[in-house]
Amino acid sequence: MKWIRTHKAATVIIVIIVALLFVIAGSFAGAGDSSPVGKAINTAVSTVTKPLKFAANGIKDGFRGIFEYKDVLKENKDLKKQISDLKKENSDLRLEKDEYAELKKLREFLSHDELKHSDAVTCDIAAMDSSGWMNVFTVNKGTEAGIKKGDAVLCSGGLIGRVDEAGRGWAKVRSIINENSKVSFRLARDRKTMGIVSGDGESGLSGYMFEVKADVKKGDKIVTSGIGDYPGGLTIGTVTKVDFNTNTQNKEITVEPDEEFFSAGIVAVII
Amino acid sequence: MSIRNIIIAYAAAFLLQITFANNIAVMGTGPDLILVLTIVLCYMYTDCYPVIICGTAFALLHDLLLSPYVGIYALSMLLTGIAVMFASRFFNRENPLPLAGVLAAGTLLCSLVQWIIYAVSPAEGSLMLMLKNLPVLIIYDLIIGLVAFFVVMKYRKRKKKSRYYL
Repeated sequence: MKWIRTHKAATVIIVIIVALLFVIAGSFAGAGDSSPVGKAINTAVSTVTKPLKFAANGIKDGFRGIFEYKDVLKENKDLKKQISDLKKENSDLRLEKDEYAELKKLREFLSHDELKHSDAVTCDIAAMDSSGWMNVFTVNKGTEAGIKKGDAVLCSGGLIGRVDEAGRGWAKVRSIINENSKVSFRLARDRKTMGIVSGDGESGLSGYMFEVKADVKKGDKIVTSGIGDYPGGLTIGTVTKVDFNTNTQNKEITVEPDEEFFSAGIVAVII
Repeated sequence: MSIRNIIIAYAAAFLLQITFANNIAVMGTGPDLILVLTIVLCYMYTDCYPVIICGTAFALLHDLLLSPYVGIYALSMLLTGIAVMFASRFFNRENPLPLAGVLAAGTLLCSLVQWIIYAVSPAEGSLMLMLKNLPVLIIYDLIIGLVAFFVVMKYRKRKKKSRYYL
């Protein structure tokens, strides 16, 4: 007791360290789920950060407009081309709509749940931090919009991550570029050619094919296979490099996501 | 530095960290403003305990908002703050040169503590990945830390002119 009285500051620090160790152990035991207090704090902080993130993005876009005027013009031109391509694709898809409806009916009749109806909720990114290597961000909608743990999160370019935890007014998303996120994929052009990719921690993905003789090459688009946490058919990215690793005897690939992760401001959550 | 000013500084750093810092990220890595503030203030002031406790509280808030597991960043912030507090006793607190070394070592220590906790946990943390991000993080922290140092020095000089300054 005498030691505690004479070393008040050190005692406080030791108590905090012990308390933090319990918090960490509790967090791992609960698989990362926050306590009700943590969820309430998260709701409050998300409310405060929403306008600030909006302002920060506005400033960034403003500077971009000034210093990268030519790039913006090029991007505008590319987007116009993309719109015309999508319009064409859309009209083609309309023709296939009737066939799809028929197929869906048939699948429902056979109780196949792969094509069950799902909705998407659009959200703004409320908070993001790039100083760590966990690549987690928070969006401004949560349980009130029907978002729950495990939902897939998309951006304009395709799959971006998965909801790790959700509360009122917020949801914590772990991006696929997180090294702990493993995604099962298949080639967009061939359903049978499959593999697994995980984040490289920077802004890309790397992984391997299930078969050594898999016919994969640079420029191939990959989509989720539907096995595991993510629904099937969601675009992941484009293969930029194919290598054969002689040590692991695996065909390894490097993938570039179609969306630049850190510039994504709006995302959609499939609920 | 009064506790009120410490809290204001941390609140500003926290909000900038989660909203703006990401926009200036290079190769996917941006500055760690909460860590920079903890290191700079622990280096410059002799009474570090309010700084360390405040830094830990904001790091815990950061964990709640942006980390898959709560408490890891907070614990690493606390240990880094304590380490800087002891290290700064050996340096001239008004000299920015040792601060540069302390900033680099502090950033490394904070990342290492986080990696160690992740490594012994079921979450997995890659040492190579942490090391890959570290150079950019250290450079960012150095730049922002030295800017913060000169800002605080200016604030202190202005305070010294006051007849009530202690």
